[in-house]
Amino acid sequence: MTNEELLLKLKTIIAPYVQNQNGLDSLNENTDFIKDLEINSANLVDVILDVEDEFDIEIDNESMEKMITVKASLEVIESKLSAK
Amino acid sequence: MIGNDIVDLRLARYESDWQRKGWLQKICTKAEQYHILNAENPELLVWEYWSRKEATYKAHQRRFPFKPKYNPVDYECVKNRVNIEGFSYVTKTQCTQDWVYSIASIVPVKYTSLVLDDYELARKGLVRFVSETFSVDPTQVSIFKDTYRIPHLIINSVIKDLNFSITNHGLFSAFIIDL
Repeated sequence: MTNEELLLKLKTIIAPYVQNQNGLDSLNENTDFIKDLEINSANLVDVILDVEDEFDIEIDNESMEKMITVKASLEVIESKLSAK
Repeated sequence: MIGNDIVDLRLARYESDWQRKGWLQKICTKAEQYHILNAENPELLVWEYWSRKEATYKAHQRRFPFKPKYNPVDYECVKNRVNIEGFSYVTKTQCTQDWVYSIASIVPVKYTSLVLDDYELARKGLVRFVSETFSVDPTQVSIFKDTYRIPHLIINSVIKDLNFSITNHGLFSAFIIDL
C-alpha cells in the first residue's frame, strides 16, 4: 500500500467524526485530529478501533497515545502492517 | 494545578457507543471496567470516569507541560482520586440529568467553578470573572493556548500565572479558576 492509499483510507475512517470540514478538505500529514479537525476526544477511540478493523491490526496503548496527528497515525499503521 | 471536564450526556449518547467492542478496554482499566459493568447505571459511570480522566489530564499537563497525547487508560480512577504516572489528583464530580462535570486538583483548593448552559459561555464567563476580580476592563482580558494547547490568561498584555481550565461539550460549558 502506498502512502497516498494509506492516507486516503485514513481520511475515510476519520471523516464521520470530523467537526471541522475545512480541516478535512485540507488534510495533510501535519493535521492534528483535535486541533484541526475538532474530533471529540472520546471519538478518538472510535478512530483507533476503526483503524484496527480496517487494517486488521492491533493498536497497543503505547501506540495509541501518539495517534493524535495524521503523521503519527500513519507511522503506527505502517509499523503494525510491516510487523504482520 | 486544576482541570475540569464536562460531558453533555445526550450528545455523548449520540456520539459514542460505549458498548462497542473494545471501546471500554481502550479507555478504562480492568478495575474501572469491573465497576462499570456492575454499576446500577453503567453509562453514567462511563462518563464520570471519562470526565475525571480528562480533568486530571488537564491538571497534570498544566503541572508538567507535555506534548498532547492520548492515554486515557493510564489515568486510573480510584475512589475520589485519579492516579497518573505516580502522581495523584483529587477529583470531584457533579451529575445532573443533562451533564456530568468533574474537576481535578493536586490538593483540595479554593476555587470558583461554574457550569453554563451554552457552548461558548464559559470563556466569556471566565473573562468576566477575571475582569471583576482584578478590576480591569473585560477587553483587557484574553485567553490564548500555547503549543501544547494549555490555555493562559493575558491581563493588560501580560501573561498571568493563573490556574484555570475551560471545558465545553454539546450544550454546556464550564470554567474553573483557583481564585
